[in-house]
Amino acid sequence: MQERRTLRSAGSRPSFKPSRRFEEPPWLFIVPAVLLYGVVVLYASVAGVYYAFTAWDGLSPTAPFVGLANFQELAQSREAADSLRNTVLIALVATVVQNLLGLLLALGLHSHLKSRYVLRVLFFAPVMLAPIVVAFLFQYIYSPMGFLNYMLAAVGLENMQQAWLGNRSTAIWSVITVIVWQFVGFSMVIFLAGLQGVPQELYDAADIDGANGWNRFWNVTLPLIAPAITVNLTLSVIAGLKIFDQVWAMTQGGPGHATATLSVFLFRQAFLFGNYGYGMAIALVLTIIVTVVALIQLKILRSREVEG
Amino acid sequence: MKSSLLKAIGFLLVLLIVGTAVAQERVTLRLAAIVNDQEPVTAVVAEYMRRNPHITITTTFAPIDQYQVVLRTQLAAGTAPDILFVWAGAAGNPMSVGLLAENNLLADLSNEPWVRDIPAGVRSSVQHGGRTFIYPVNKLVIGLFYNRQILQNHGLGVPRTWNDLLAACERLSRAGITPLAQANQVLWVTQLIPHAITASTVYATDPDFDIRLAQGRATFAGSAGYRDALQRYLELNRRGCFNRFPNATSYEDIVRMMATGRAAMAVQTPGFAAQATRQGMAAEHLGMVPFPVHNDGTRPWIFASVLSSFGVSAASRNQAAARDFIRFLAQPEILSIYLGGRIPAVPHPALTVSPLFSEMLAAIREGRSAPVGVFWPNPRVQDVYMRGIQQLFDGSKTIDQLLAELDRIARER
Repeated sequence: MQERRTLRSAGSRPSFKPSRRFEEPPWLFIVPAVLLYGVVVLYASVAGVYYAFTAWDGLSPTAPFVGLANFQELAQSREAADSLRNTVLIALVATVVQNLLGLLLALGLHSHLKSRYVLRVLFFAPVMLAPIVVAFLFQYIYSPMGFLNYMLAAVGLENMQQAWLGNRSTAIWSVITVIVWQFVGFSMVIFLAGLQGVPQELYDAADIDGANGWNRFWNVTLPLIAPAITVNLTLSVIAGLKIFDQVWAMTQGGPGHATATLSVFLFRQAFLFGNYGYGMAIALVLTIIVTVVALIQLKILRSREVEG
Repeated sequence: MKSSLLKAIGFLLVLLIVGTAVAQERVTLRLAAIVNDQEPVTAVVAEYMRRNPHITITTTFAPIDQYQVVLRTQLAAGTAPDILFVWAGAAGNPMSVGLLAENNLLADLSNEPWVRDIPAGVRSSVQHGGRTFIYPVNKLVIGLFYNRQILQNHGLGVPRTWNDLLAACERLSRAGITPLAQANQVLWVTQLIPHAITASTVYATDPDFDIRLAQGRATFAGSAGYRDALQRYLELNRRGCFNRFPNATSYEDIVRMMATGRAAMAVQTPGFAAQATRQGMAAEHLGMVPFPVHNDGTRPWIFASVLSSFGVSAASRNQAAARDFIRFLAQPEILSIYLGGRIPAVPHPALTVSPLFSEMLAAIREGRSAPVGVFWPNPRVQDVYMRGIQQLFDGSKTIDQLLAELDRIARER
């Protein structure tokens, strides 16, 4: 509007009135984007849903329709159940620990600490690394002759040395640790943004009321950073449920199936075993799980948010 | 004026025709292979382009799992490279010649001149339905690598019997040296020792075991040889033959262990020798023999199977040029560039094999080799086998459970 007014006043012919077709951007402008979105996202998604009901092997020109057979097989699969359990465990633990640590870091760095800017960058740095790079780095740290076992030996704790990624009781926790290490900085930054939006007057008022540190946090900070909590928890749960790169690079789902997630299970079925239809059925179920969990979570968290 | 115009048009037409002819002569081929073979493929491609300046070959390399995923997608979409790396065998691998040829994705190369040179024992690995689809370059073998110097220093000879191996394990582990470096964190490594054993305990007497398995006429659980191989595998672990935490040990770890003298032996494939020497191990200290299985003097069989093979995409628009490249590759002087002393799948007097592999080559020549697992009925069997071995090592599965699961998966199609 402002721009049009300026144009009119600057024009050499004051009587100029832009025609109607200049008032709104022509809808044709969005056609390329819609077409691209349609082909790359919509068509691929719909085709994926269709293939979930077929026995396509990923190579044949034909994809025999098998109805619900893939879903029946999925419901009866022990490997699928193990993968689902691992996925839920990773999503749950990583979300809780990552956000607790992220919040603590944010609270610590939302202060007048001299080195706070340097520390923020340091804690955020792992987020910028590719998950695959982090996975290979930790594969070395966790190796039997790696940094972790070396440090344990150096401080006289040889008996605590482990096959961190090779033992079914430690492998999944080792993977979760890597995920938390990499993404704790991401949660921290979102919490920091939330903390910076809390008005100082509310803290002053709380001080006048005689609130101690805990009361200030519980009654002022926490309610006012609720939107940041919503964003963090939602993103962490979604990322946790979809986790693939770190697991595949560090353990390929092993030992056995001890760290296999639904994404790893899907990848192996579709692309390594040629059970493309079955793989798409797993993908569809995973999508439904992620959507339902995210929507429920959003609804609960949004209801607890308050206006700043 | 009119004649000048006609001359100009005529000149342009001539230019167009000549230009088109030249353009038709220029061919660009696409070739895809696994990253493990990048060095020899690049050398052969460079030589081919040097001799055929009108042909350009663009190459793409990827790690095995990524290669399989991308190439399967490209093949299904009809956009696969003209020349592609393909695995030998029926259906045990997602990019095996059997699977691809079954879906008419590979060009039939049966009439190529090199087909008649393929040894009888190799033919079934490169054919489907009696037709040949890939050219086999080299053979993958599994054997026992040893550090000659370490064995000598501890008064040990090269293990030739199972008991020799156990005795070496005991003496070396007492001396603080890892007898056998084993990287079971890496799935494909888990199967090497059982493959090395079953070559003798199963395939030496029943070479068609995999075929009968696919036909439902044999089972893993019913095979004494498979049970024996897995029991021996666990026995080696129990007796301290392996490094600590084999399930958490990577391939790079065991290469370092051998290269730095912290391990005396490893059951591995030929590529291991290059890796170990690249990391500083003296080549003259390294030896390789068939894995010792027997105690009665019977000479062991070895795992040997076609590894690197190349085919032509059925959808390629440059069939003639792609076939010409494979004919070029099949020449002994070019093959020797590719092989670099490794064992050829198609023997030729002009091809020299590194002395390191002489005992493995002798086993192949004497017919004491088997392509263990190459004809398993579907790719999941191998996956269950490899993951099951990890589970055997961490105690979450028994041999009986693993064999039963293998049979269940082998029955699936």
